[in-house]
Amino acid sequence: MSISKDDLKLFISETEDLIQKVEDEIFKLEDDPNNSQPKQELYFAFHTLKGLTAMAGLDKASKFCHYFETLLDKSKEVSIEEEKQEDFMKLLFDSLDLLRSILKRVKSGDFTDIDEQFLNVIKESFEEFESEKPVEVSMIQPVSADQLQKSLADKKNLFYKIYIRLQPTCVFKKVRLFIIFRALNDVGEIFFSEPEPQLLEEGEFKIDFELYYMSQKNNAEILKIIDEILEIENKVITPMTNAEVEKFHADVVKKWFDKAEKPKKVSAKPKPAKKKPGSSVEVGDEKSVSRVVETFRDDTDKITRVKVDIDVLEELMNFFGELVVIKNHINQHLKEQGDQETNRLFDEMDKPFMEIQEIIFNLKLVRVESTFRKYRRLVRDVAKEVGKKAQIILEGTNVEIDRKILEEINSPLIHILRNAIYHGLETPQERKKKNKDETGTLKLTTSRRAGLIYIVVTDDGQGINYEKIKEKIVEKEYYTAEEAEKLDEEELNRFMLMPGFSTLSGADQISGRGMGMAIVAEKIKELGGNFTIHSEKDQGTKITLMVPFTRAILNAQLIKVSSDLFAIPTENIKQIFLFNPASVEHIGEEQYYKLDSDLIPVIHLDDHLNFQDDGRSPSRIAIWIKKDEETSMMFVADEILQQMNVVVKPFKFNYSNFYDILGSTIMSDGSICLILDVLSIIDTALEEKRFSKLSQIQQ
Amino acid sequence: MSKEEKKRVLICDDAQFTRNILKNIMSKTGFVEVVGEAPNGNKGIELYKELKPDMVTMDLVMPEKGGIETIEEILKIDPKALIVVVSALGQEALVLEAAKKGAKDFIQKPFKTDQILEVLDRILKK
Amino acid sequence: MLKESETEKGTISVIIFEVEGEQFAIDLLHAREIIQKGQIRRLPQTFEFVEGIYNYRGDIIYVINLSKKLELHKYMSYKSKEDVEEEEEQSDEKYLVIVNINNVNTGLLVDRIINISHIKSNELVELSPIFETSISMEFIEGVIKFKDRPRILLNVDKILTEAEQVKIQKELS
Repeated sequence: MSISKDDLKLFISETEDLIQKVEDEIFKLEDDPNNSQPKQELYFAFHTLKGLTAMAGLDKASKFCHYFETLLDKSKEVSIEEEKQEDFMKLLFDSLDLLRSILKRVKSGDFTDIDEQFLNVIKESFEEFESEKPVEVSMIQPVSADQLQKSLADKKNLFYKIYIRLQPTCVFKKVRLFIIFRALNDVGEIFFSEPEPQLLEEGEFKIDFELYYMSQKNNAEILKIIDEILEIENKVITPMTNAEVEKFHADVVKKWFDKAEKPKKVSAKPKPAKKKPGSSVEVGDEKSVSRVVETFRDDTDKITRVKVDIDVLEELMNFFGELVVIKNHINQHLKEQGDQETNRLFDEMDKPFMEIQEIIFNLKLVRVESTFRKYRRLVRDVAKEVGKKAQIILEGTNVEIDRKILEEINSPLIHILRNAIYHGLETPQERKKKNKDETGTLKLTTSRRAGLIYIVVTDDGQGINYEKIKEKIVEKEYYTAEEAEKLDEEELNRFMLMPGFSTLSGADQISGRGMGMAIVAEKIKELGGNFTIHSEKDQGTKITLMVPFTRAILNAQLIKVSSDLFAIPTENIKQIFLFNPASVEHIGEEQYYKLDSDLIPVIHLDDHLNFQDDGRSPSRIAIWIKKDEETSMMFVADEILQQMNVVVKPFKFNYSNFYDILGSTIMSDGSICLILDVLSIIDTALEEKRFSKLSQIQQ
Repeated sequence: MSKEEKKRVLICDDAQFTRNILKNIMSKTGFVEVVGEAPNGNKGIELYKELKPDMVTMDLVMPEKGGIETIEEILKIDPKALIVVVSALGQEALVLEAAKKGAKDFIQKPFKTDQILEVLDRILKK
Repeated sequence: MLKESETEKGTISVIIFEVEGEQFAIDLLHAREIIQKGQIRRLPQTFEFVEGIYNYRGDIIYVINLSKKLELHKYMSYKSKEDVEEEEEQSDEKYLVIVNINNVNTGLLVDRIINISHIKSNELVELSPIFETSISMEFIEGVIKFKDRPRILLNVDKILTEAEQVKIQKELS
């Protein structure tokens, strides 16, 4: 079956949700093994997964889910022995891995099923649980000689021998029989069969069987009835004469009656399987189903949530962004024309606009929990892999962040966590020697402050080995040994973040496979974020990431540098002045702007951007940008234009070395305006030590 | 059969993925129209009353109200309702239960396009 | 908007355009659209041949100054003051040929669109090394005849080489 792109998307998103559900419930179960609720949920999740994977053509994966479903179904009733609990949990975790790997493959368009051998292993380990519940069908009631005579006497009755061959793919043979029997018994009576009734009802037949049947319907009518039933490959209906029926009864049915006393009893009871109170097949199932039903009833009485594709949200965001741009444009137009009433009415639009913006923002936000809780598993596994013990404490998991950004910081965070376990934490023996708990503790704390998300990862390991870094610095001849000794933590950290600089001597089987800290740093910066490292010997390491919680609409100040348009986020601007050349003081190579008693470093944007060629405007402006309490700089531009909300589009730096760009935005005339990352420009300037005397002067 | 008299089908399944595939196959036949989709039994019953479809496809394990109960209730409303169970692997007991409650027939996931066509052909196109 | 020409067997459709007085051709299959040059924004710290960035249907694309990329300006003879003034006047009437290079839309800044021509593939000849050109061989796919004069068919894929991106990365690290 070919699956359309949309279906595939749906398959992926539904499967993803279910896998996440499975993981959550596994953790709940691990915390409280005696709680049957998670098992119930897992049962349900595996059941749905079974159906989904089957539909996607992943038969073995579907079977795999089926095994788990069965196992969980059983385990709801029977509690698992304590010593087996760990195996049970491991099995569940393994299943999770397998499901993830399948999903990953499907995402990349690979529909390879899981390995048959693996399936067998799983099946074997389940064998003890794996006895199919008996399915009972009983609808053939052999007629006694007396009854037959009566039936034969009624001229309306017609007799048939019906040969039926099922399709070889038929799996639920007994249900199939039930449906065939029911259809025929509706308009007549099956009075015997070959194989004989009991065997047939138990499914003791290969693929075909014969029914002996009486009915008042004619051949064509019976054919039509059977024709409506699925999974029948072939059927032959042959009428029997009365003589033939009598002979058959005498030869076969009578003998059968004589032979078996017991079946008689069975036949005396019309439908034993259904009425038997002890055979809990249906009853049990009904219960479990209704229990499933009950658990869902609680929270689904009202539909309070809808699922929306994230792409749709992005689209909504983009369209809204365009609307904002147009609105700005109209606004400008109106102000020029100066009709006060229109202006006033137009200004009233601001409030709903702001609120829509707020709502759309919030729609795009997800709790970090959705991603971060996966780290519990990660930490557990990575620690095991390297023979360490580790746990992770998650704090502030209800902090919300733009889904896109959350996706982007996932791999850097995983890398940081792996690093912490691999390099930071000591082995249990070492930890014992140091009087530490054998189990190392990682902590992931999330908080939101001033438009930024702070994510702090700490570990209680041995800390960064700065001595080794120094050795490396000397070895690679960046500094002499004496110089290296004088480097402070920040400078050493900077080395650590250099591409290709690693303290590791041997092959790093975990961290080395992923990305280096240098790439982590780059990635975070790409997101418009920043990060710091602080480490103390034997106390541990603390890494703080700061990322914007969204990047979408920004209030920006438009400026002109040379003849080109740029934008600066207004939140970074402290004040704007007319540039007074007399206020500039030259100290060495650098220029400082005198403001009251302060000297503020000056950045001429045209110089900085390499745009000097067009000449400077005679009346320039100075924009005071404040990074934090200690650091601020004066940016000099040629012209100041209006402030407006701009939609930030990410910008690809294919052909530019200039990385201090926050993004781009499209102006109402269709042209592009680059948004300058002024904070980053300040950092770059400081890094280049262009304002080395900055601190002394400002103090 | 004239084109105006398309057979009307209601799909009851909690997985949208399955619903989509069923719908896709059915709509391509030209004589079947999927008139409703229900993600659970309650919605299925509600839609059945409203739409009176010619046939219902029924998943058995669904949230809120399972297939068995739903079959029972639909048949209470309309004893002639044609309900075809679409079950997953390994639910033989459950499918039998559904059949006993009055489901017309059943198919298993994963189904092939041909199987669905066969269902429509045998059960709907009289 | 020009639709991709249905290439009949043995025929190549090309766009012939002029840069710095010299005529070139590119395969029409590579071109998506030809548009009047709009507001191109300069990009800080970039290659000399990158004219800037341009909003092409909501996509931000790079605009390549073909004259600089092909280093044609080096070969230009002396320009009179009038020539320069005239050129500046014309600069707003330049065109952008939007081409798809390695799945990325890129604008090529050209002075004038001459024609769209269909040539038989046997009229496309590989460039003989003796052939004297003003541009580097790597950008040349072959030579076609248009109005009895040879024109260089540019190899669009080569105009932006990966090497340039690699170079940037090297400069960064």
